[in-house]
Amino acid sequence: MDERERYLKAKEIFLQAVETNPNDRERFVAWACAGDDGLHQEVLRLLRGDFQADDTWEDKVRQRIAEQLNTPTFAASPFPIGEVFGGRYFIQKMLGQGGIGAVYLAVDKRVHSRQVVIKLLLDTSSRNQWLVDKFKHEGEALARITHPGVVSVLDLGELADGKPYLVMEYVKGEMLASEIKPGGMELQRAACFIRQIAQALFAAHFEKVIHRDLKPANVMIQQLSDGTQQAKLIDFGIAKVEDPQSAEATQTPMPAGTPVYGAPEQLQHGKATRQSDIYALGVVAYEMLTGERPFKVNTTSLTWQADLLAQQYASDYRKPQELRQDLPDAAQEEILKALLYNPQDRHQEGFEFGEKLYRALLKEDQFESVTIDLASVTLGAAKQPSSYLTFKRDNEDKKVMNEAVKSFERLWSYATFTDRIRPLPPAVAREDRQQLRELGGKPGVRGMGAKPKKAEYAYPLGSALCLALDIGSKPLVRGLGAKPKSGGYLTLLDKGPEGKIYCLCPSHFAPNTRISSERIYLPQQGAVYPAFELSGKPGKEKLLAIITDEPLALDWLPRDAEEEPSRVLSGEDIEALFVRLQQVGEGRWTAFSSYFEVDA
Amino acid sequence: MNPHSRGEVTQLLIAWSNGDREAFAKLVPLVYDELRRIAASKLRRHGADAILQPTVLVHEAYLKLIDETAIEWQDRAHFYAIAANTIRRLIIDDYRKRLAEKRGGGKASFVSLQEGDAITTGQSVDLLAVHEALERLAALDPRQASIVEMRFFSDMTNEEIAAALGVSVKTVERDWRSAKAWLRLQLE
Repeated sequence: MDERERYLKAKEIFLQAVETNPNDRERFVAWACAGDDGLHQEVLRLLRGDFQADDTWEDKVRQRIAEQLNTPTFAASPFPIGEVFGGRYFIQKMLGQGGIGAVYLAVDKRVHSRQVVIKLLLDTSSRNQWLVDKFKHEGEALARITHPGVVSVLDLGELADGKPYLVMEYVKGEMLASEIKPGGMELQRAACFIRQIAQALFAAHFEKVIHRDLKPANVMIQQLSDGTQQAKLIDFGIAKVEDPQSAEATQTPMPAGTPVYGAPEQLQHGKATRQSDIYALGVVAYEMLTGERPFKVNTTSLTWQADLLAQQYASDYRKPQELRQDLPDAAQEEILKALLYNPQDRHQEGFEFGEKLYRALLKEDQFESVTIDLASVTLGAAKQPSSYLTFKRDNEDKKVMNEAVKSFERLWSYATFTDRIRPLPPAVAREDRQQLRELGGKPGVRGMGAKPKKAEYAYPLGSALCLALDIGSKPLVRGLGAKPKSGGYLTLLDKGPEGKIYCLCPSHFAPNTRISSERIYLPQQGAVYPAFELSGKPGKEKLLAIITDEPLALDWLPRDAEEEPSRVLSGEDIEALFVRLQQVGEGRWTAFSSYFEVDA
Repeated sequence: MNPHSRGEVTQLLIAWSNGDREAFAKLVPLVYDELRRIAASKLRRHGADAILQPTVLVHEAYLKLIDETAIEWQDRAHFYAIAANTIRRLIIDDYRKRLAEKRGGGKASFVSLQEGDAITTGQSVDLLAVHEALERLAALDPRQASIVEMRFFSDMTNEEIAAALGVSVKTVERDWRSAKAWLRLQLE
């Protein structure tokens, strides 16, 4: 029989076979094929295919088709100029287009026709998946920064085909570049701008965003409504749009513009760090104060990179004071330090550089009082020696803590309260304890005779607790419209003494983590789950657990139990968490809270 | 803009339903154009909010092209069958075009292209393979190929497919099951 006949016959036998009792199936098929080996093979293959073609596979095919369908090559242009995008932004014109993306000027119809800038990453081919992820990741990081010196991110999203876009405020004003004049700017004016930029850098660095392309053209001087001026950083990091050279690069793209502001390590390896931004600020400060750039390079020459590196290495530039006599010595020192070849030799925080240069440039009586967002600094200070933080604090600490606690309460009350977390009861079955011991947790609770009070259990101060989540048989997390899953990501928050908020640990429990009908344990990727100690005054303790079906991806959560198992959260952190949860959508996270009593 | 009147397309559909093969040949490009146009305009208008769904596209094209009062319910089902086939072509044509563009080193295409699907994730579905498998299936059993098309590219239910093909639902179910198994094998 020919192929077609065989196919139809095989199909017939297959359809009968699937109706047959599995035990009899083989025999049936053998009989039906009556010695025709080819036919027999075909039927077996069909049976195999039938087994593999499950719902998941079907969904995948459908999804792939839907993906392909949603492609804008159907549409005429990458982005609809002269039309409304997303039901909200009226695209006025394209401001620029690079190899991988484009920038548009638009009007936000939803907000009194305010002008905005939309950046769209266009090339999302699979080999640049890294770029797409980076763009999104930095877009999110940028969105977390609220600082007068950093351009605000108003919206972020993705087109149907996965192209990410960023909507930012449109800053009206002049570029810093146009303020620079030969001989240098007025000392006081330059000092103010430099400090503003440095503070903005610090805010960005705090959110782990490196600018990577700081230069006078990327700093706008914004006219504020009260008549003052504010230096504003625009065009950050990967949210940049020109990237001609790095099609294959796995490293940070080097902007094709003027490279004279870039740090040596950026030129050489493309690696940019906080200190690279500081270097760039050094170059900018040099130019602002002297009217000239320290390094001069001809980018049309084939060896310009090597030339520039050599100049940087040898510190082959004229000292600022040579170009400007009235520059104070201390100011020159700071600039020279920022321009040191080794990143470790420069200032380590933008803030430090800005502050010192500011003071060096002005006479004492010209100082303004410094208003810095202390919350971020407090956390930053926890990492770094705070020797350079020399300004008045004025009960700021307490204020910050109060803010943190307030936000936390807000988050707390937002949560769905159920009593579904409980610490392991004192009378823990022996095998449970054994398991816990293996996990490294201490079930240790002395005083077994402790009678459960209003909260279910009471524990002596200093005892270590492991947590068990009592999920019963119900799923914990629901995706939007998706099938309910019984797994997810867990983030634990605790309010400790002095109102400090601690993140106990983020951990992940997956659907296939050992789940008994009553409880699950919380191994953290095989590592020890940090049992936490009960401290503080006797009384009720409260724990907040948030379960999401995607990791919250907030940078301040420690990644590893070996790292700090707990970390103090600031008001901003809680706010960010709060905002993130709202973005994720209420159906996709649940929060539980539980009380347990601490015995004296 | 579609210069063809509703009446014209409707007539073609009826003619094809009655067995006129030539009508089919004329009908396909019209449906193709219309579907394409609808998809494009939706994407342009809604940008990020647009999620193109085959059923919606087909339905809109149907409303646009066909004068419902003039046809029988079987014709409607036929239209959907054509539409499924058309969407499949639309997708594959577009996919091939972009593959060619990429290889030819054209300007950076601005669409996510899952080239080398199987290689990158080992999990993605290779559209071209699906398409070629369907072509082979059509040579072996045209009805089955049509059923697969209608299920994957038009999201039709078994009942709708049965109506379109003029067979029983049970037949559709059986055909679908074996076609699916066969297809799955082809994609290994």
